[in-house]
Amino acid sequence: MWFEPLSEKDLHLIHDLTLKILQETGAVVEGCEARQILMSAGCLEDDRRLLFPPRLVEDCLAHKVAVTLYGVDESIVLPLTEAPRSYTHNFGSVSVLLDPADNRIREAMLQDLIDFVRISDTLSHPDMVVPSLRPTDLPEEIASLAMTAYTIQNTNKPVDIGTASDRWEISYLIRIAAAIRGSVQKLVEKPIGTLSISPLSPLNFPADITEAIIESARSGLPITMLPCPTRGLTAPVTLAGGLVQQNAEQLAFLVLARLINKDTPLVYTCRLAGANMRTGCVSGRDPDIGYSGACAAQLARYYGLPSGVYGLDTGSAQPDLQSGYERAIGGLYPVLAGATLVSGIGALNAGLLASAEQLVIDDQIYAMIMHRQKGIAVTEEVIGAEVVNAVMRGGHFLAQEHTRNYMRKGEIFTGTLGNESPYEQWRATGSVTIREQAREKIRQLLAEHPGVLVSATVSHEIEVILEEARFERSG
Amino acid sequence: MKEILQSLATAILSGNKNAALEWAEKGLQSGIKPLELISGGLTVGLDEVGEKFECGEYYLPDMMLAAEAMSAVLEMLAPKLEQERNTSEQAVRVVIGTVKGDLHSIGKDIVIMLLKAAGMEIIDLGVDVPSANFVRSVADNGADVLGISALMTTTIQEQKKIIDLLVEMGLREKVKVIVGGAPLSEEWALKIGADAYAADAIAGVKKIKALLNLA
Repeated sequence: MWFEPLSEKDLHLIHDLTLKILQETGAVVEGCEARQILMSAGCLEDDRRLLFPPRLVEDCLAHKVAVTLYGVDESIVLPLTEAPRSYTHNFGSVSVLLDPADNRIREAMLQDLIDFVRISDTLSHPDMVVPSLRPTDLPEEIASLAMTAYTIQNTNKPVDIGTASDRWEISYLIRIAAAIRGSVQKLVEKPIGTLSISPLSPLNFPADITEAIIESARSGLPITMLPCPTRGLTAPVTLAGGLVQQNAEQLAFLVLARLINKDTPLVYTCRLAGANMRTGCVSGRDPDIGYSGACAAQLARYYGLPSGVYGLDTGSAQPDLQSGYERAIGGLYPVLAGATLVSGIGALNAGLLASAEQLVIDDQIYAMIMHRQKGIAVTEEVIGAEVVNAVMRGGHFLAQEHTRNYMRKGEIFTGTLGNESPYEQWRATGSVTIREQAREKIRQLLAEHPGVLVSATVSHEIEVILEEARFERSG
Repeated sequence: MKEILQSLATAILSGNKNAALEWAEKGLQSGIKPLELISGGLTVGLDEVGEKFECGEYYLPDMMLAAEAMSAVLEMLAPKLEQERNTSEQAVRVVIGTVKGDLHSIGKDIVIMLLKAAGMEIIDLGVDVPSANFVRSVADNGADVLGISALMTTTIQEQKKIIDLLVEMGLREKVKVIVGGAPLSEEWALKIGADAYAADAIAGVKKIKALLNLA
């Protein structure tokens, strides 16, 4: 039922060449503990690189682990492994935003992060809230921790617990997230999200990263394996070549995580991007963003892992026409390919600029893209041939129970944003643009949101942990 | 002789390292002076590469391959140049590196390639460089330019630390500072007291030339 860009033969070749790269070239792995763990499992040392025997990789892949995320409110469940649909989330960690008030860019503040989280909490999309902004008024040494702390207090949805760059950060992120459930054990039973860790491309796991992987895997929390190769810069320029290198990065990550804790829930998360070959920057208007995401989703399914890929993306610095068509092209492929998690909500400029207007518009874009993700049901009842018969004999489609019934079931898309009035009527009602509609919706959503969603006790506990972290880092 | 210089320029233009080395060798054998090989061959080829890039015909891989071919020939000529060079002309010296906590090297490496191709002398400090090392290297090498790269929202603060340290050590006025990295902006560069910000490698090279009045 899913769009499958790769044939069986393609998948086998990608897998075989991935194993060959891991065996013959290997990956740079730093950090004594990680090297020791991998070498006692059979990896061979070749300078800073470790070579992975195919058998070891296959064994680690054979062990299947289900991944289920829960909301901060645990009645929200995202069964990622057997997901019959895609779930959406926003981009992360941007420190500059486009201010809806004057359409200028400015540095993000803590209140902006809280607003982004509350808007995301109220909309249908995202399903999962990632700390989108990296506020510049937070103490730098604990900014990553504070971003998670303020995110989880303002949404009921599952979250990204954080993108950690070392062991210390991971340990604090886990403590902060555990405050929601009451204990680390309860958090692991019903995780409110994943920990994200990015190795470097090509195939490079620095010591801080391997230590973060070790700490995360030991905790038992789900991990988002997040390599971000760029075709032509840090990966082969061809899409097929980029997929293979990215796959090797995923599998090296997976082997390490599984050796530490074989039941570590893992998400095969791909950020394979194209480069602008004139500037050397990641391209935001690369039509392959979505297509490579679709390929990666298929590879993840081949391994029985849930996938996470880019979705909505744009090079534009405005929520404009360019942003609209680039997002549509980027979002459609992975959703039709059944990617488990699709990203990009609220980001402009290839993920370097945040926009609350775009965040609100993206809710609508994803709703439209998801509308036919599962295709259509074709049964006699759904087709309703008898309705045609009835109307032809003197009835009206509008007056058929079949019409009302299936309209309510979502046969006809009913969005809340965008214009479809004729020109004169549109003029007469104030010529409202999509961005004006979005700004109005932002005001409305923020006014409706109840505010901090956790108890005063939990809030206080989180503040204490942040204070402790700050003390440790500055002392 | 003209044919040899022309062929050397063409080899640079097409980024063909082996051909460039061969033609340079032939040039030396037929008595062409190293400096002449550079001015009449390498530079001619590279200028044309620059033009093709400007007009949109060439892309980064074309530039990188041409720069690599040029570097290979320069390296081959280096020992012979030492004897010949008598000019007091000193190459522009650039200290460059990626800040502490940040392991991204690709952007910096592209800039280095292009700066080398423009004839500048590069002191590459690598990645994950403590702020004191930047400042020490500027002082030790009498650098004209300091390039500071940071690719993560978590590490760009380091750029400010380095500039503050330059001020503290009384070195700020002696060196032009240019910052780069995906999460940066012109506003950020101004805020932390850098002389320039470049969104990409090409702009970086241009801005460095402009800062030194070489453009």
